[in-house]
Amino acid sequence: MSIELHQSLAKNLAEVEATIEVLISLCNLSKSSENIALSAAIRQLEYSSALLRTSLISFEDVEQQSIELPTGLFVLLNELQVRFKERARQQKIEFYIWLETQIPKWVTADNHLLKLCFVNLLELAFQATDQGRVILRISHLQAKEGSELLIEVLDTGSGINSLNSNNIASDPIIHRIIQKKLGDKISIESIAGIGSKISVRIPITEYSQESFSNITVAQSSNSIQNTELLTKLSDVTGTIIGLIHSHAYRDLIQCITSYGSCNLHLRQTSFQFKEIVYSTQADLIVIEGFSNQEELINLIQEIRTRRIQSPILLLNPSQNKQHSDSLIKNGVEEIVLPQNATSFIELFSRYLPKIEKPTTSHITNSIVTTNKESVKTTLLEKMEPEQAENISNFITNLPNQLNQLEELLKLADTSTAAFRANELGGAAYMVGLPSIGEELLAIEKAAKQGDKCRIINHLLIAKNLISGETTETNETSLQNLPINNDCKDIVEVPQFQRPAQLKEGNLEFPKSKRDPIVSSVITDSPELLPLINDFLGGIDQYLSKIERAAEIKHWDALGKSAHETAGVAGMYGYPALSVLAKKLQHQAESKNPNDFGQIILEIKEIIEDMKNGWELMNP
Amino acid sequence: MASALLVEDTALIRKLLATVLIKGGFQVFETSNGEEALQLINQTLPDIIVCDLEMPVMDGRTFVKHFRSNSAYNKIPLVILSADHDDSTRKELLNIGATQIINKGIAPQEIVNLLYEIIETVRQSE
Repeated sequence: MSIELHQSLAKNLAEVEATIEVLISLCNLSKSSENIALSAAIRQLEYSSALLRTSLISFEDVEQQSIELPTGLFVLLNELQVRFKERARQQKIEFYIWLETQIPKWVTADNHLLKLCFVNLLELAFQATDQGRVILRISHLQAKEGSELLIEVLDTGSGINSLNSNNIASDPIIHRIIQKKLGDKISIESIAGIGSKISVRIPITEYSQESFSNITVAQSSNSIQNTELLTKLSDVTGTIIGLIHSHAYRDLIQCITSYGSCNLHLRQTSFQFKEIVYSTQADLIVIEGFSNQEELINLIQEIRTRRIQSPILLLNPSQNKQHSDSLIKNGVEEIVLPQNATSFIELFSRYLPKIEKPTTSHITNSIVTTNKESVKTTLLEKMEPEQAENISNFITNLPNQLNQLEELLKLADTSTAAFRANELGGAAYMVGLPSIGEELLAIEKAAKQGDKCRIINHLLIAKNLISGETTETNETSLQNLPINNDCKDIVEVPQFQRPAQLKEGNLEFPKSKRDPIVSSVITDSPELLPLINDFLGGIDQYLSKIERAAEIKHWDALGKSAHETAGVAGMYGYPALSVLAKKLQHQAESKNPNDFGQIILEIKEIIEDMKNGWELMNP
Repeated sequence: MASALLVEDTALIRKLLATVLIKGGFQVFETSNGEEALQLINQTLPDIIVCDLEMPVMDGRTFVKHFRSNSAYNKIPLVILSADHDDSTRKELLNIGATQIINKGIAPQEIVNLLYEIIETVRQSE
C-alpha cells in the first residue's frame, strides 16, 4: 500500500467516524423503538471502523518493512519450527534451531525475504538429508557494509556436488527474489557423504538504543513517541492469553507487548483458546471479536467455573448497557475498545504485575550464595552504568548460554562446545566471575578430551554457581550426552535450578515431567517395534483429526476419530490412550459433550508421554 | 496351515494383526470392509474370520448377518474385534452369529492363541 493511499484511507476513515458520531447523537435524540436496528447497525459500523483503524496501523508497519528482532524473528522461527519439526519427524531425522545471543533487539529487515530464505534453505537441506540432522543457526555479523544477519543451514545429508551447488543459486531451489536481493552473499560448503553448510547473509539496519522510542507502533496520527509510556510497559511482566479474531488486533498486541517482557499466547479459535487458558496460568485474559453474546457468556462462565480468576478484558465496541452488565456479572473485568496502541499500553500496564528490575547490586547479590563458594562481581560496583549494564546482561544470559553449551554437547559437537566454553569462560573471568570462568574452562578441557564425567560435573557446578539455589537436578539429561565415556563414579555434585519457563517465542518449552509411556506390546513381541514406531510416527494425525472435529463441533466426526484412535491405541499396546479416546467417543456420541476439551488435553499429554517413551523402546 | 480372513478398515491395525498372525503360522487374507469380505470368502474359504465392528461400506454387524445367512459358511468361526462394546452389544453380536467378541486391547500373542483355540474347538465339535 502506498503512503498516499494510506493517508487517503485514514482521511476517509476519519469521515466515517465523524458520521458515526452524528448518527449516534440522532439516535439518542429519538426514542423510537425502531432505533434498535439502527443502534445495532451503528455499533457494527463502529466496530468495523475500529478494526479498519487498527488495520491501517499494521499496514503502516508493513509499509516500513520493519520487524523487531528477536521478537519478530521468534514468531517467524516458531512458524518454521512447527513446519519443519513435522517434516523431520516424517523423515526420521532431527531438526534444531540455534539462535545466537548477540542478535540486536531493534532492526529493520525484510520479513518476507527472511521467510523465503529460511523456507528455501531448509527445504533444500531436508531434501538432501535422509539421516542425522538439520540445524538452522542464526547469528549477527558486523560487516564493513553494516550489520548482517547470518543464516546458516547445516545438514548431515548426502552433500551437494558442484553441479547442484550451481543450481542452488538459481531458480527453482533458491527463489529468484532471494538471489536478486542478496547478490553473491550466499556460500555453500559441502563434503559429499558428510553434509553441507549453506550460508546466507541478510542485511539489517540496526537501531541504536536512543532510537528505541522512535519506532512506530501506533497509528499514523498518533505515533508513540512517548518514552514514559513505553517505559511503563517495559516495567510489566506476566502472561497474557488472548482470543483475538482480528489480525489487526493480533499484530498490534504482539507489537505492543514486545516492548515488555510478557508471555503472549494469542489464539483465534475458542477451542485453542480454552486449551491454553486451562493449561497456563494467565495474568490477563483478553477476548475480542465475539458477535454471539450467548456464546461469549458461556465461554466466560466456563472459564470461571474452572476457578480461573485471571481478569478478563473484553475488547468490544458494544454500548448496550444491559449486555455489558450481564457480561460483568458473569465475570468480565472490563469492557473496553482501545483505539490505539497508547490505550492498550495503559490497559496492560494497569493489569499486569510490575517487574522487579534487577539493579547492579541485586545482580551481585543474586549470584553470591552457593554451596561451593561465593562469587562476586567485584567490578560491577566500580563501573560506569553502561558497562555495568552490559555485564548485567552477560550474567543474565549465562544460564541460557550454559543450556546452549549443553545442547552442543548433546549433539556431540565437542569442538564447537569447547570453543564456546572457552569464550564464555574468558568472558566470565573478564567480568569478575572467576569461579564460573574456571568451571567453563574445565568444561572446555573435558570436552576436548571427550570426558563425559567431568563435563557433567563442571556443567552442574557452573549452573549451580549461577543459580545459587537448589531445586531440581538435570543429571539424567546430562548423562545422555553422546560422548563415549562411561561415568561410573560420578561424584556428588551440587544441584542447579532449571531455567524458569521460557517465553513462547523462545522455541523451547519445558518438557513434560510425566513418565514416558512404552507400548505394552513390545514386551511380548519385540519384533513389532518397527510397526509401533510407524504408529507413533503417525500418532499426531489422529490427534489432528480429533482436534479438527472438536473445533468445528462435528460430533459424528469426533466420535469416529475417537473410536478409531481407541482401537489403534488398544492394539498397539497403549491402553491409557485407548481409554481416554473411548471416553471422548462417548462424549461425542452424546451430541452435547461437556468436558471434551479437558479429555483432548489429557489425550495430548498421553501422546506426548508416548512419544517420550519412543526413546526407551529405541535405545 | 490355518488361514484367517482379516476384515478391518484401519490399515495400521490390519498390518499389525496380519504380521502377528503370519508370525503365528497363519495364512492371512485381508480386506477393509464387509462387502469385499463376502466376495473373498468364496475364493479363500478361511478357517477363521476376524472382523472389525465399525467399518465403512458394510459394517461388522451387517457382515455377520449376511455371512451367517449362507448355510455353507456355518462352520467357519467368526471373531469380532471391538474397541468399545457393552454387554448388550456383546449379546446382540453373539445372537446374530459371532463366535467370540474380543477387545482391541488384547495382546497380539493372545490373539494368535485364541484363534487357534477357537478353530480347534470348532473342529472337535464336527
